Amino acid sequence: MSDQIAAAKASEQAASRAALIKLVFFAATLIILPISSYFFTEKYVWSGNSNYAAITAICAANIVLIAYIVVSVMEDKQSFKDAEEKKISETKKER
Amino acid sequence: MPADLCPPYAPFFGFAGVASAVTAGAAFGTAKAGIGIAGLGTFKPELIMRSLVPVVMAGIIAVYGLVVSVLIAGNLTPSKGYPLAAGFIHLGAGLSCGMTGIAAGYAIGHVGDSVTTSVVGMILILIFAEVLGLYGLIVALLMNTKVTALVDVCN
Repeated sequence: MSDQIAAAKASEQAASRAALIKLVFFAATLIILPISSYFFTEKYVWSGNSNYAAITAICAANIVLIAYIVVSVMEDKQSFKDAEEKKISETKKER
Repeated sequence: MPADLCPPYAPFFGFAGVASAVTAGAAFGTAKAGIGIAGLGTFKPELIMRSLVPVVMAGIIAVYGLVVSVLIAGNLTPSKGYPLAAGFIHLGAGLSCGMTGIAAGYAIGHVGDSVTTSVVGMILILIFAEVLGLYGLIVALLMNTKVTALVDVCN
């Protein structure tokens, strides 16, 4: 009984560490990607036109946002499915 | 004539535009949404990823302000003759982005504070709040394109 609790705690810790790594990755991408794409495209792609470079940076920031929303919705569906499976297995055990 | 059109205090307005584009709205949105998320995190830690969507959106508002600031600061030329009209245009651009950023951050903060169980509904409302900041950015970009025509006024 106690090793079941330990296994559950370990898996919970692993899940929260994975979530933390994902969050840190998205935060770093949100900081680095737009401003670096602004300077990079201003110099090499749009040959000095800063308005187009600003539009590129805004598109990059919105792409990061959409990726975050997609990842969080997928994770939400996954955790919902896991909770349902756990409930089904628990009702089976009670019988 | 050029001394009238390019007074020495013109860069003040340009730099005021740069400073006003960086928003306080994102800070308000993050703080208000964070209060709700901190309350939720103690009861249901598995909802952390999706309850942080308002915070990420408030961060995007801050990115809008940063990009407009960098854009305006890149077009400022105080040493090469800077017309007063360009200073006013830059001030208007910075203010439009900054104030719509405050409005969007306010909306995102209140929506994020009352975290609902419906993810899709919350994200839809947040997207509508976010495009307010985007419209301010578009207006700022539009205003900034008028400055390129004023380049040779000071000579």
